Amino acid sequence: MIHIENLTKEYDLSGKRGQVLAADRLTFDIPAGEIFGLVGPNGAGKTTTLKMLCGLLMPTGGRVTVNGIDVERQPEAAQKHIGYLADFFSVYDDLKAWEYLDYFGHAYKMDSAAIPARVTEVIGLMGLESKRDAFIGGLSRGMKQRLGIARAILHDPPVLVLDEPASGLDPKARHELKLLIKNLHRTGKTIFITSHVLSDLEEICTSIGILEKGRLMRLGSLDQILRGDSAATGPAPRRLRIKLAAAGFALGDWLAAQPGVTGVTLEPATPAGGAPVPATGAIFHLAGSESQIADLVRALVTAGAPVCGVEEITESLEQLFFRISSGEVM
Amino acid sequence: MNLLANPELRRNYRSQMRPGRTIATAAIIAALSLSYGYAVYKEGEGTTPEGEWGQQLFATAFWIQVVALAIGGGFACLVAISREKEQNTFDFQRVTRLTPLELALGKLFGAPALSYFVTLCLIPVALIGAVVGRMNFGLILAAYAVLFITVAAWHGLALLVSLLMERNAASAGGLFYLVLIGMASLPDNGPLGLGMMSPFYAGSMLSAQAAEATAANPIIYGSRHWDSFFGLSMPHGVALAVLSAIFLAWILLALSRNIKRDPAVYELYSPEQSLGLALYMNLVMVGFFEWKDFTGHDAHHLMTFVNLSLFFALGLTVMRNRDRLRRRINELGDRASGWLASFWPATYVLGGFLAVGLGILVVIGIRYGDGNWNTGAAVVSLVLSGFWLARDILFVQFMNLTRVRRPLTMAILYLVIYYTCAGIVFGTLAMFNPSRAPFAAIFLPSLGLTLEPRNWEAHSVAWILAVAAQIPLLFVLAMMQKQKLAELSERPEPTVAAPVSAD
Repeated sequence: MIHIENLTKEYDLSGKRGQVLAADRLTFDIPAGEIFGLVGPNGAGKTTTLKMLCGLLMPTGGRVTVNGIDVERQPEAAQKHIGYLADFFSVYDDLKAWEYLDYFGHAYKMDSAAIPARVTEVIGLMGLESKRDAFIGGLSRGMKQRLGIARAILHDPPVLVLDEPASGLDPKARHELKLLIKNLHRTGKTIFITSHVLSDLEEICTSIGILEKGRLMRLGSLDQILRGDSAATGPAPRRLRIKLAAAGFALGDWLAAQPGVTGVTLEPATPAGGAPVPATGAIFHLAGSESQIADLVRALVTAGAPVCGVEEITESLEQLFFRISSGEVM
Repeated sequence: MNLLANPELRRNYRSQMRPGRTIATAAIIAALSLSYGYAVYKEGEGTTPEGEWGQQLFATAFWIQVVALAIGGGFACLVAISREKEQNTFDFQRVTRLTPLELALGKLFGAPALSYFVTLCLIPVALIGAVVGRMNFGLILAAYAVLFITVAAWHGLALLVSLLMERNAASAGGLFYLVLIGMASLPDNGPLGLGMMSPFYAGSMLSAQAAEATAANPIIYGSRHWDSFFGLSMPHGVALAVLSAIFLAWILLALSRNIKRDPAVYELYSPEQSLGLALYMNLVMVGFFEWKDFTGHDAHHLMTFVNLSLFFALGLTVMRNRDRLRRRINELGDRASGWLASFWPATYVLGGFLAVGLGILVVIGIRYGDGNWNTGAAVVSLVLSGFWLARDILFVQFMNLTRVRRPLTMAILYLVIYYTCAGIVFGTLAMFNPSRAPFAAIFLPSLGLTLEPRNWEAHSVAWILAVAAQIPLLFVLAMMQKQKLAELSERPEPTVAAPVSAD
């Protein structure tokens, strides 16, 4: 649905402070029906990337296609397929809510006869029925944001590009926004979203990209990213924890003898200088698929270990994001 | 394309013409019209010829309409895009499927909605005045036609200023437009005869008619109300309307080329379109030129000067900035940073200027060939002026590639400072007398612009040296630009991350 190829944008910093790469040869695809979340600190290049995707900024190099249409060469044709919401609340305060949507309906060259019904439909979808005839200037921030989303989906584009849609919203409005995005996803929309609220993205996105100084540091499904899978080395070893109901089984020795197992750490850990504590669990890495995990657990039980728990240990997106932002991992 | 169905036009009318505001505006204008009409009627009763108060009433109503449209509407256009940029609503319009021309037309005729409404409200009182004053309705219609066409052209100019001005420079652009329109509104057509090219001329048309009405000869104006285009006489109003309509077409071309573009890569016209504009402007200039008032060299100097200004302005429109060059280098590789590229846009403006200048030279040569006309002096004057133009435009282009804030403003400022200082120093050293002028012309090529045949005949070699001396200067400036191109060609280190595919 969205194809981004070698997308590059160089900027000059004001004064003589040099130049910056807001997007550094970004290359990736977003298949139809995905909710793709682009995360990164301020200045990472998220908004620049989104604006290039919408044809608002000309890239220094590379290209973007939406539904097979080159955004730079045929911007108006591509924009038919895109609904865009910026990271600021910008609406015409001197128009009424329905007038605002009616204007954009015509500007998107929708069928004139179908516009009133569609306006009513999206107003209902956004829960703005009571504000239909209200001047936009008098609406709350949350209402304006809903109106912005209504505008973005008015012409029923297959792709929605949402730049920080939750910024400035209270927790309730944020929750409603999340539900709304999930609903839009259910209708088959491909959604490209940026947000600072990583927990929200974690909850709704089917794939994630982490951008840092214009570079795409991670890209993939949430699971792939959190496990640290990479194209060069393949799937990363999984980090697992096994708990035993009682001590007495030589868990450390047994695990160390298994193929694909590395980095075994027994729990509870032996205190420094103290007497050894009998192990009732272990954390280790296993290079393998989920069926190999199942095989390992089955073998452990067969060997007589009183297994009472197995879990995969993953980082949260927020933890990973901070580690990348701080340069701890590349 | 149905203009009335234009969404941007309708949005403007919708937001500006709310019922409350519309009724209030109409009521205020009606009240003012009635009271003013009554006052004029009472004042003229028994003291002025019958019906003259009607002419006065019409003149006042028409004048208010001109001011409402030219100044009120102009100001509305002036902020039409810059305000949207400030409010961040412009990007949403740019991502709609409105074509650039639709968006431009919607703003051009929509932004001044209130001014048009005020004009409409004043029509009844103007009509009453015209009927009572027994005015020539044909002329009134002509005046309104001239008014609306010139106003549209000036509104287009305001809209273009609004598009091009950066956020924090919008007020400077506004000031520029208001000064222009203010000068045009001054009595006697203002400085540079700007009034003759503005909506205010429509008022002059009717003033002339009013003055002549008693002589029952309403369409005969003074000689300044007639123009001659290649010998074809026509009323100035007709010429103004046609020229304004063509001017508006050029402005719409610039607007529709740029209104939906990324502001970092605005380019008013393509090089071909710029050349077309230059040729058109020259056609107008030569066509309307009043040859009988000038000697051959005076005519040549004047036209060369006008072309210099014109090509300098065109050079600015095709200038490349760092962003555009990065894209070119990315697309074309070394070709975009080679020697030929380092001379841009000097090659373009010099070629165009010399081609157009030689054409004019041939026209003047034919017309004045047997009089006090020296082709050699004219050619040297033209070539030196061309090199001057190329030199300055190269400097401005170089500055445009530096990282200073407002590079174009800084470049123009440096040029002004340079020419002011050089003028003072050379003046003090008496370098402007005929024998030394060619040497001063190396640094101040503007001296070539007024080269007289006697001076040329007395110091031909020195003048040719002055022309030749410009060539190494051009190379120095091109080399400076080449360094900037090399700097922009440097690419950062490749990305180290190796992302996995999302699928």
